Amino acid sequence: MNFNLLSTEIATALFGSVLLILSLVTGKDARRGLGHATLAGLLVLLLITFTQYGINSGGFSGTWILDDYAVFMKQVFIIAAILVVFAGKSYVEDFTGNCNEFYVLMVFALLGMMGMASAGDLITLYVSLETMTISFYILVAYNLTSGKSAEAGLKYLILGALSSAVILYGMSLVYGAAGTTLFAKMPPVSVASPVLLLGAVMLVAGFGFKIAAVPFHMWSPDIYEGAPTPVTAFLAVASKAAGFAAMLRVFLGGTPVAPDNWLGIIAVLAAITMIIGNLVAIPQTGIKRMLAYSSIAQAGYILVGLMAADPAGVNGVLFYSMIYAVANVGAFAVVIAVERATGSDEIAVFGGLWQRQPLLASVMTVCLLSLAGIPPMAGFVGKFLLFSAIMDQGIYWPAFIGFVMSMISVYYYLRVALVIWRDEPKDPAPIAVESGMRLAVMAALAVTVVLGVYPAVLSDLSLAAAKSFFGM
Amino acid sequence: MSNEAVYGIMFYLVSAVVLLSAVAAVTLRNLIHAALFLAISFVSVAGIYVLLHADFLAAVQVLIYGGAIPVLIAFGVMLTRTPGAAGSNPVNTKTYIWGLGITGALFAVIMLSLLKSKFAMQGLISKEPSIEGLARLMLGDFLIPFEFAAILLLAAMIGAIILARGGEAK
Amino acid sequence: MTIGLEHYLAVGAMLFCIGLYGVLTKRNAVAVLMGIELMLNSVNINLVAFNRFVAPADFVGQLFAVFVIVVAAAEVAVGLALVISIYRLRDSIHVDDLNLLKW
Repeated sequence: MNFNLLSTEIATALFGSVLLILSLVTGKDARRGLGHATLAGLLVLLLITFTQYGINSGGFSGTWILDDYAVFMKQVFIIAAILVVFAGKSYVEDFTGNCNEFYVLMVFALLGMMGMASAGDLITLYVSLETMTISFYILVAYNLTSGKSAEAGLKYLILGALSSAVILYGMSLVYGAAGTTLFAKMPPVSVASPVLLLGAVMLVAGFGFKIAAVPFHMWSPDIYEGAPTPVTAFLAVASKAAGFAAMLRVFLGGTPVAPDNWLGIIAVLAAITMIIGNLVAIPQTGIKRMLAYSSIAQAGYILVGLMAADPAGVNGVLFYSMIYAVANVGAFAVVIAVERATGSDEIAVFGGLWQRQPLLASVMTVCLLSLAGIPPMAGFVGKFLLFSAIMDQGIYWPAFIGFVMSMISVYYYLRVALVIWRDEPKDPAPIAVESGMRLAVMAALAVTVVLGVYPAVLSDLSLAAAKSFFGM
Repeated sequence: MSNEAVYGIMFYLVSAVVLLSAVAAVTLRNLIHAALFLAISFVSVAGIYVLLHADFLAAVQVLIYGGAIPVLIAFGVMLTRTPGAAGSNPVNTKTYIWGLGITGALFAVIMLSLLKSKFAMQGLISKEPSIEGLARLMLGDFLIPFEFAAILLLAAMIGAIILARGGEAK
Repeated sequence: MTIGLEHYLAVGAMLFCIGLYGVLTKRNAVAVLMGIELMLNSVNINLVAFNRFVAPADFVGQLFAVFVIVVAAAEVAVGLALVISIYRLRDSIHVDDLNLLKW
């Protein structure tokens, strides 16, 4: 038994437990220390993942797979967590009552995501998926004195449990049709039996909920608005990436559904997700709801890469997940800073932000431009990889829809930028940015710009990871 | 009576109890009564497991679904008491009709695809007691989900305590 | 007529739909959770039946069902804690009274 296969997960579980003990023995005045401890631990975890590249093997009779693909995805989750903790530390310290367990639950959610990226069978996938979601139910409701937060938590729990039940029913049908839960052992079929098709539809519906694809997206704007903003950022970025990681494992790595059938379902899902997500984002007046709809649309772009179902497509998914994670957390970090200073999340309060805090204003603008896919930013490269993967297969319409909808998305992203740079501030007092927040937004800014100009740094890594996914 | 006939009668009896009490659980207007029928439904699902030779699972079902979960639900009902139990479980009149429609349509789709499919049936093998096989899987090939489940329970326990205790006002 | 796989799957499908009906029509959050529990039980019936008839060589289906029970118990615990927390803040646990967010 090679412990190297599990070293990241063992370290994460240990780290979470140590953090739990620390949060019990330290008093309320030690909150800042806990945030720093979390950051240090996450950085160590990130370093550990770098030793895991190139292992490319499985364990436990195939229920656990550690390929470069899994390692890359784990790095996306860890980087998102690091940025969220940097940006959200003081937000969390503002919580009344016990805030200490917040970081513990975040680490456990992270552990669940890691399991999703490495799962080689349905049982491992399901249990790690639930480890992530149950931690998120609690995190969403973590603002214990706010009715909004509790309401968001309950809604997320009811809809999340419902979607889990649907995923499970689909999994039971797949198990019945294939006779095994191991992805690697599922027999390939050319013509899907009705029960397999039904199972696949239920899996798509359930995972569609987890990644907030239209028409299973209705929960996300509400939950994003009600949840504490750092949790929203983590939910929008890491849990969505984990959903994609699991979807790729299930559909490209195993399920013996005839590809034509389910690729058709994914194509329809991708198209309506891109269209509805972008169109509904336009009239939003709250920044969190706007970013919620924008992240629905982003899920649609990533689905196009899934549709390609080849190394180029997976490469696009991986590259874009990283870029999306950094840019989205960057945008949410600015929202956190402005929300703490003004107490509101309306787009209007961003008026004249560049006079109040030029750093936040530039980061927000760059991140939004990257999300919109404007050329010098990294988001453009990501979209290019996703769309060219599907166009190489001679299918042009998803790329066309994606292109048109990206143009439309520029409108609502730039509207925020316009408010920031053109409007006069209602309250000219400068917004203070503490050191953690400064680090988070500067990192997001640097990554977004550097990878836009010089994408090979990341795309070489993601291409190797995508090839390892297909065993190449 | 042949063994097969007895098995058939048992199956129909147990399934009828499961389904009828489940219907009662989702239609009754009194939440306490609904929870009671839910417990009956759960316990008779254990009967189905016995018919399927899953003895360990039947025991787990009785312990968790017959004991722990109904108690939790009863606590949930009592701690959030609404005046009088009689109307404590109202049906949402707006969604009543399309709720019936959606579930009916889904049932038809599931049954159609189940009946149209062929499963790779294998002869029934009587084997070692299931508890031994389960233990071997749980601590062998499926050790990782087993460990993840431990973390999951820890997270759920922490969360339940934090949420139920609530925060202090500022 | 012998009782076969289809009979068990039919019971599972019916139970799933009954649970879904409960989720769709109930106003009380506790009742909605009860419906979800019924759905999870139907999945377990499916898994155990498939294990018995399609893949009897090992106990993977039963093991899956054990994990589903574990997760379901954790979910109910967190769900009821949330219900209590929201009741404390809002004095109501009816799903359609939850309207601070637009839903």
